[in-house]
Parts: sequence; structure tokens; C-alpha cells
Amino acid sequence: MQGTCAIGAAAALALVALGGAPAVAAGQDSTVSVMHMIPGITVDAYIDGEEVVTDFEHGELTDPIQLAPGVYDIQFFYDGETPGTAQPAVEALGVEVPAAKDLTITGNLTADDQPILSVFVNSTEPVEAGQARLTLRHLAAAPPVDVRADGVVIAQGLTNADEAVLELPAGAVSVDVVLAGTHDVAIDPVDVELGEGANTIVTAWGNARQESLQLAVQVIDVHSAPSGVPSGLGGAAAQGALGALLAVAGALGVSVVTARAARVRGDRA
Amino acid sequence: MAAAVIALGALGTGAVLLAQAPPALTVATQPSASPGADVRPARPAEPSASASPTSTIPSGIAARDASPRSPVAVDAPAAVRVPSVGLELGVVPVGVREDGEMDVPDLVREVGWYRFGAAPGADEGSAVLAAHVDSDVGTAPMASVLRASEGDAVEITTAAGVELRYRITSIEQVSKDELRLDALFARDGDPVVRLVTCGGEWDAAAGAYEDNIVVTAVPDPR
Repeated sequence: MQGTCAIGAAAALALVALGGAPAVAAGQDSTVSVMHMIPGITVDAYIDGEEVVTDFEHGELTDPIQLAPGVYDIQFFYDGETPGTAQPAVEALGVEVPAAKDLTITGNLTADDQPILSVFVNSTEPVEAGQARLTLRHLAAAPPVDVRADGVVIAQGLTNADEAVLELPAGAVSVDVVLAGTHDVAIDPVDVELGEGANTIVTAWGNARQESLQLAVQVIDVHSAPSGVPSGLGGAAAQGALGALLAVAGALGVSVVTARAARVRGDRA
Repeated sequence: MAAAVIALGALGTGAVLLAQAPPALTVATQPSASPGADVRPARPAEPSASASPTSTIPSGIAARDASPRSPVAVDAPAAVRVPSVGLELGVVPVGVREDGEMDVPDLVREVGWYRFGAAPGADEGSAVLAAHVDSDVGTAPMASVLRASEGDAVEITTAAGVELRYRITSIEQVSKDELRLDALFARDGDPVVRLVTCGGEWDAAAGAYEDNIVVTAVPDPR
């Protein structure tokens, strides 16, 4: 038994080494993604006067941007115009970026069709294994809506700038949007994959009067591992001899780690 | 007991080398360090990110269409073999049970692949294949993996017929209390296949073994 316990510790160490350190974001930086959901214009996005995204088309989402906590000025300029030559199409000055959060900054329309920049803090709380999070946002020039999944209302009376956050089993759902309290379809059904361990952010955007309402999707990883691997049913394999065999195997596992480390040292020499 | 002593010795050595590994890795990633030269590369003075407390604003950030997209089809594993110990079993995709544990197939002739994690053949992450080590009628086929050795081949055939080949780099017995599930089920990092089953002492009260056996194999293309 002593041997088994000792190997347990060794193996845990080896698994840490082989698994590698988890990717640590640089300090307290927040992850910021920008979505452009103002119909009909192409813009360049600026942060603190620096051009960050060029030729940003409506319906597009940027790669994640790492920003240190602080206060930032976010501006969209019409494509080709600059802070030196023109007024921004839309701006948000003094946006506070907190530490170590996941944010989405959206350029979108208000309910009465005015362009605006909005900031959302996305839920990064891990979901249990097998589950999915669905975040629904209404950022369209449109009246309140109900959002349905496979025909069932999952968010009722969502108004512009509102969001609803749900947890569901992972899998594909057919999402459509109707005018609140009616069966009048505003956005036709779209298959949305609710990835396991993902926060799938589904945003309704566009303009109801121009019949340009549609959905945009952003996905954030919020996964967690299963809570265990139950892989014995009877106890028939529990034998002293087996323990000794495994003790040797455990030693081999550790020697592999040793070899890896030695190779790295060789690279340096 | 002899085995235990050997194992502890190996642990000691491993721990020392591991402690030295991180700085070595840092040096190795510098392209200017020439092999064989025991010198510190002279670097020109340049603005260091750590010297400036203000955050740098990135430029040239890419943007892509955010329309809902169809899920990417994954080529699931269909069979796994460890020829050195005569192990050959079919693989079925599994998820999680109600209690949050991996849903290992009840049939002891089946191996469950954790379908929410990496698939064998993916560019990164840990593909977990688990099967019962035994049942109430005796030892199960997966128990033969306990006789495998470091360096042995693991072969996986995917549903699309792709043949993948791996090489075992470690066989570990880990107390279920100490098992680092995040590392076992990692979705990033180097691509590995992990064959998991149970071992250690049978806890009759809990109806479970105290330990997991984790066999790690890395891609070994021919």
C-alpha cells in the first residue's frame, strides 16, 4: 500500500508536467472583442486614437483583444476617415475596462435607430461538463421580442440593450425571434450550435423597418472537465500483484518526464 | 516494497529536473541562442513591455463574419488497439452522466471517447478514451492495458477510416482524489491520447476503485 500511495503522488506530478501549465493571461488584462452591428456602414475602429480594426464590415466580430484594466476611448470612424480629419460615426468615451473580465463592445442601433456603442461583460463562469450557456442580446432597431429555441420561448419580452442568460444541455437548437407576445416571426429559424462548455452569445441586430434583422454569434470557452472517470464495476482487478506491476509502470512514467527535461537542457547547451 | 523504493527514487530525480526545466525552456525559445554556445545572447537595448506601465493598443486586429455557422464535423474514433498486449476494442462517443462524471460505457468491450473534448488526430488537446477495468464477472479487456509499457504503440482508427498511430510515453496510477481532471481533459496543449481505466484498491463501500490508471500516448506518425 505504501508503494501505491507514493506512486500516486509521483503520477500526479507527472500529469502536471505533461499537461503543461494552464495558459495564464497576461496579468489582469481583460479580453475584449468588438462587434460591428450598425447596418450599412464600413468603419475603422479606434481605441485611444489608435486604429485597431480596418475596414470593419457590419456583421463582423474581431479576434479577442487583450487590454489592461483602465479607461479607454472607443470610436468608429467611417472607412478612410481619421481622428485628424473627421468626427467619428459613433463613439464611447471613458469606457471602463475592469480587470480580468471578458467584454464585448458592440456598435449597434438603439430601438429608435440611433447608432451607439455598448459594452457587455460576458459570463465566463464555467458550466458543468455536458452543459452549454446561451446568452441572448437584443441590439436591433426593433420592438421587444421573444426568442424561441425549437419553437419554445426561452426569453420573453427582451428589449433593446437587454440580455438573457440561460443554461441548457449542449447541442444544436433552432433559434427564431418573434415580436414579443406574438407569433410574428422577425428572424427566421437559424440552427445554432450550443457547444458544450461554451457561452454562445446570440445577438439580434439590424433594423426592423428595413427588414434587416438577423443573428450574430460569438462563442466563449467556459468549459469544465467531468468530475471523474468511474471505470471499474466489480473489484475483480484489485489485486496485490497488480499494484506491484503498476508501481513499476509509475516509475517508468516519471522517467519519461526526466528524459523530457534532459532534452530541453540539451537544447540550451 | 522494492518497486516503491525505485519509484520514490525516480520521483526525486524527476522533481529536481522539473524544477530546472522552466528556465531552460525560456532560453530555448530565444532564436538568437546558438546551439553549443554557452553565452547569453547580447540583446540590443529596446523598449521592454514590462518597463512601460501603460497598456499598448494593438493594431491590425482581424474581424470575421459573425453569422451563425454550422458545427465542424469531427471524425470520431471508432477502434483502438494496443498490439503489444493484444488490446483491440471498439470506441463509442460518450458524454457525462447525471452526476457529472464521464459516462464510461457499461459494456466492458467498449471504450468511451469523451466527445466534448479533443478527438484523436486533433491539433491540440487531450483525447480521453476510457473503459472499465472489470465487471462483476471478472477482469475486462481494458485491463490488458495495465501490461503495456512505455514506447508501445497505440493505434486508433477513425470513423472515416483514418489510421492514427501513437506511442505510449507514460503509465500512471493516480488517486482519484489527486487526479487533475483539468489536465486529463485539457482542450489545449500538445495533442495526446489518454487511455483511462481504474486501478488500485477496490473500495467496496463506494463501489469504486480508489485510483485511475492513465496511459498517455503522443502522436507517432510513420
